[in-house]
Formats: sequence, C-alpha cells, structure tokens
Amino acid sequence: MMRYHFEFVRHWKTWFVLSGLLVILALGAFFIRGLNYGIDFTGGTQMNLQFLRPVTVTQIDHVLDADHLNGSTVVFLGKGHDNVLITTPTISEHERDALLSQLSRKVGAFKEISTSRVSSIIGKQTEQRALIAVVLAVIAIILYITIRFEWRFALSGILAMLHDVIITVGLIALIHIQITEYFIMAVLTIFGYSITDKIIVFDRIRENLAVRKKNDPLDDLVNKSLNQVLVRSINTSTTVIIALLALLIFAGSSIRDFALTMLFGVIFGTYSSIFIASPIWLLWTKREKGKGKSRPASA
Amino acid sequence: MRRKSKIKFFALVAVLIAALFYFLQVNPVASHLRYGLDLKGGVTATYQAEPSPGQPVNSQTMARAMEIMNFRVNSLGVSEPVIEQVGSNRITIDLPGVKDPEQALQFLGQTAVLEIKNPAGKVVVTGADLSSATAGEANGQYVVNLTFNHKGTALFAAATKKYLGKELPIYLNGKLVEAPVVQSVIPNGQAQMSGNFPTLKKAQQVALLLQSGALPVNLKVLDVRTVSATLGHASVEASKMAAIIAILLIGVVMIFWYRLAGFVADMALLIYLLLVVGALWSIHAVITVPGIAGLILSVGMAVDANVIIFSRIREEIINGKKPGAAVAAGFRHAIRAILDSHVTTFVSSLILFFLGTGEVKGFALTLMIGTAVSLLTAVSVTGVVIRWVADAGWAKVRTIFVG
Repeated sequence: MMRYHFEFVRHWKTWFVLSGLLVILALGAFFIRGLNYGIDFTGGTQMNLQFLRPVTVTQIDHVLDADHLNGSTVVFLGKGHDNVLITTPTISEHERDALLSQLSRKVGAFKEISTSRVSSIIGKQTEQRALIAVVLAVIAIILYITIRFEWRFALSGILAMLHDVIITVGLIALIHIQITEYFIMAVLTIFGYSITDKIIVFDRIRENLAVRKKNDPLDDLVNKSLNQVLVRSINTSTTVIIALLALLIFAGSSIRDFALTMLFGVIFGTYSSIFIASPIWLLWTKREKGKGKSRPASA
Repeated sequence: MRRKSKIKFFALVAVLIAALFYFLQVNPVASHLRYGLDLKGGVTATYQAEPSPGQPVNSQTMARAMEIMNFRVNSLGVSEPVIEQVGSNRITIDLPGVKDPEQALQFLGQTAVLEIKNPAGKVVVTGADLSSATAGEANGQYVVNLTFNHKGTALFAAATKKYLGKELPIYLNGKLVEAPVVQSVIPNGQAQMSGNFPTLKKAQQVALLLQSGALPVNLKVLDVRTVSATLGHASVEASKMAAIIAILLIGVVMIFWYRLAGFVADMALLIYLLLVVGALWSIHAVITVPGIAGLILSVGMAVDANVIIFSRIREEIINGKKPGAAVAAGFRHAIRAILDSHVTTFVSSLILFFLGTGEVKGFALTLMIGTAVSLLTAVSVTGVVIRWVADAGWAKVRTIFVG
C-alpha cells in the first residue's frame, strides 16, 4: 500500500543526461575558470582592517602600488565599505608595518582585526594528505560495501559520490569563492554525507531483493525501494539543510563559505542517491544478468 | 506494564529537563570547553626546524627544542598556551590573547648561543654550561648575571686564571657583545654581561633566552595567523546563535513530522548532544571551525538515524502490523541501514584522523566521536524509549506515526 508512486527508474536517461551536463559544466568551470585559491594554498599575507570611515579600493591600491605590491587584492567584507581584506604576496614583518603606517596616513585610521602570514607549504600539504586519506577511505568503503552488500553497489555508490563532489567543486569554481583550508573539510563532509545517503538507499534495495519473488522485474523492485525511502531522504536532507541555512545566515564569515559549499553537496548528494546511484546499479546488474542468461541460450 | 513504561518515560523527560537546565543555566557547559584560536582570538604560529651546522633535525634535537619552547612560552605569561610538535620537524604554538604577537613570536624563535672565547678565539665556556641567567642593574647599566654550573665554574675559573689581565670576549649568536679584561680569578662561577641593553626588559629577554638554553636547531616561521579577540568572540557568539536556531528548528520539525515519536527523537538528540559535548570535554578536545563541521555532519547522521527508524515503523503500521510488532520490526529493519552507514563514516573518519594533518584531524575526531555516539543513542535511547511509548498504550501509535 503506497500513497504515492513516482517513476524514478523509467526516466533514467533524463537524469543521466542532466547529471552528465552538470559534470561537464563543473569540469569546465574547474579547468577553465579554476579554483580561487586563498593564501592557505598560495602563500602570502592577508590583513583584515576595519577602517573607521568608508574607503575606496583605489585609495588602497595607490598605497599598494607605491610599495610595489602589485599582485595584491583588495576586497570589502560585509555590506559597508569600511571592512577591508587585503591580500599581498608574502611580505616581511618590517614591510607589513611600513604598509600599515602608510595606509593609516594616506587612507585613514583603522583597527587591525586579523593578520595571517602563511606559507603555501602547510595548505598544500593538508590538501595532499587529505587526498591520500580520501583515496584510502574510498578503498575501505568499497571493501565494506562489497562485504555487506556487493561490489556493484560499492562502485555505483562511489561513482555517484564522485559526481556530487565534482559538481560541488565545479560550482565553487564557478562562483569563485576564495577557498581556504576549510574548503577541504567541506569536501570531506560532503564525501561522508553522500556515501551515508547512498548506503541507506541501497539498504532498501538489498532488503527488497531478499524477499523478491523470482519473476519480479528488477526495475519495479528498485523503483519501489526508491519510493519507500523517499520520505526519509527528503526529511533527512531537510534537517541537514536547516542546520546549514542557520550557519549560512547567522554564523561568521569563515563558516559561511563552508556552509554554502556543504549546501551544494547535500542537495546533489540527496539527488544522486535516488536518481543516479540506484539506476547505475540497476543498469549494471541487468547487463551482467542479461549476459549470463543470453550466453547459455545462444549456445 | 503500561504504568511502568509511562513512569519511565516521564522520569526520563524530567531528568532531561533538569540536565538541560543544569548544563545551560547553572553550570554552562560551553564555558568548560577549550576553543581553538580561530574561535577565541590570538595568534597561532608554525615553526619549521631546519638543521644548523653540526645539529641535524632528529627526534632528540626536536625534543630539546620543544622543551626550550615550552620554557620560553611559559615565560611569556600567556594563559593556556598550546605547544605541539606536528610531524617530524614542525612545532605549532598557540598564544591566546597576546597583544603584540609578532614580537612574541620573534622572541620565541630566537637562538641564544652564548660563547666566551679566549684571546686566541677558541671557545672556553658556552651557554650550555650555565645554570642560571638573570637580569639586573649594575653601575647604572642593565646587565645579565650569569651563573655557571659545576663544569662551567671549573672551566671559567681555569680560564680566568690562565688569561688574567687579558680579554675574555663574550659572543652572543656569533656577535661580539663585549670584551672585558679579566681583573681577578673568578672561582665562584659568577659573571656579568653588560651588553648595552637599552631597557631592563631587553636584558630580561636575553636572560630568559640564555636560561632556556640555546635552540639546537634553527626554527623558521612558516605560518602565522592572528585573529583579534573581538572577531573570535563575535564568531563564537554567531556560531552559538546559529547552533541554537538550527537545533530548535530541527526539534520543531521532528515533532511536526512524527508527533510524539518526534518528541522522542528530540530527547534522543538532546542526550546525543550532551554525550558528544561531554566526550569532547573529557578528552580536552579543542573546538575549532572544522570541528564544528564534523559535529554538524554527525548531528545530521543522528537525526537521520531517528528519521529512518520512525519511517520504518510508520511503514510497518501502514502495512497493518500491531503497534508493538510494528515498533519491533521497524526498529530491526532500520538498525541495519543505520549500522552500515555509521560504520562506513566511522571507518573513513578513522583513516582521516590517522593520515590527515592539523585541522583535518580535528574534523575527523569530532566526526568519529559523533558517529559512535549517534549509533549508541539510536540503539539505546530511541530504541528503548519508543518501546516504552508503544507499551504505555499511547497505542494510538498509528496516529502518532501516521498522523
């Protein structure tokens, strides 16, 4: 007895084309536009100054040019034109002091809120180590799902998870948010959420497979499973999205970009569990079974 | 039976309300946690050890460097500093609430190699032979009083005897500080260095550096991050606000979806939060932004676990099972999916914890704790309480779950 029934499986081509386009778009954004790496990855000095009066970028640029810091960027934080984030190539403590005194003389009085002087080594190393860890974690996950389910579930899940991560990273490249070390955490979180979500959906298929009658079509079984798990998927995603929206709206600026990245990840993670991961498994399984059957028949 | 279950249920509700009141009002748990500098303000710096002539970077020299850094950091008088060795050749130092971070960091990373040489330029005594160094005033000048240890005293006595009437120049970091002429043999191991210190503070710094010993390796500043205390405070307040709003909204939504069962879920979530915060507190974990991220993911999983359980029970009821049987069957089916999803996340976070560096580790740790506690509360709290509810004869369970 079902109160609703959606045809997820029958329209698999539509979902695949949609996801394929999104992945291509994301890869394009990633390779053409590129990620906007912050100083955690490029190295440099970043100063957050709160001016007492609104200032203009040109004023600050003049001072930076006079100091031959041409590769610098100046961004306003928040709504007004008084909270400024200045990013320069790596400069010494002495050069920074000189720059700050010139700024206060030529642009206006300010309060120094934060300064980071960062070498790119740490950010890059964090990224590399995280990447290695993720590769190992993926292997562990594939093994676990293979043992508890079967290997086709494992690979379909990982493929769909990759789809989520690629699209999210592509979107971040597209809107060009400056990425910090926190970005790595956001991607790791998406990775975890996405896999969890897929396992819940696969569990339902596994359960229905166990009580399947011999001639029940596999398509119907998967479609039924997806419908059964739909409410749970929507409810769970809603609660996570509530938490993320709260962070996005109320939390400080360092967390905001993080929450936005995760929001993309959660939305695509939920979508792909139902529309991508399960159809991949279904098509794959049908093909294998089909081969197995057709061979003895033709022999 | 019924009565007992009802009593248990209300007792748990009462205990939870009391706990909530205690941990929010009487003894706010948030004030017992340690926060990272990204949340509370201060400076965090990473030094990289580089070999100095004749001194390779190995576990021995790093241990010595850590010891020295500990001494120096403690002499700064900052509350709750953190000094940690990261990897094989890095040291991270967190200094909360330091006024002039750059100066502090420069002081910390200084080498202080004291050498007293004979007129021929050969070293006779070094800073390693000191037992103490203190700042003081003599003849209207700021000086550093040096006291040699047993070996140093003997060496210094011999040197002053041998070079009586000659110069015994004092070098600091290879630079000549002064070249006093030996007036008499000094057998008690006392010497004075007057290096034209402009202020007493400067003399004190040099004394402290000498006292702590010379760093066996060169420490190069790799990375410095300063967050003003006001920004840190604002971000803690903002995050708290966001967390409270998120938790309240999720609580309300759960009750809206699952009625009384949603209320049970909220109880389970509350216990979950208390346990996770308690666990973080007990292992002295430092709460940072990435840690909060790990926490959000695990809260998401904890909510999910409850949603899965109730959705299953609801299905079993729709399929015509009796309340008791529906709860049992729904829970049994749900717990398998919950177990698999939690184990997967736990294993990944374990790998991240052991292989990741710095902030990834903090993220992985909270995720690990959160996942374990979530599984625990799903089985023990939600599983048990929902049986009480079914048993208590609020057995219009159908309306509870199906609405």
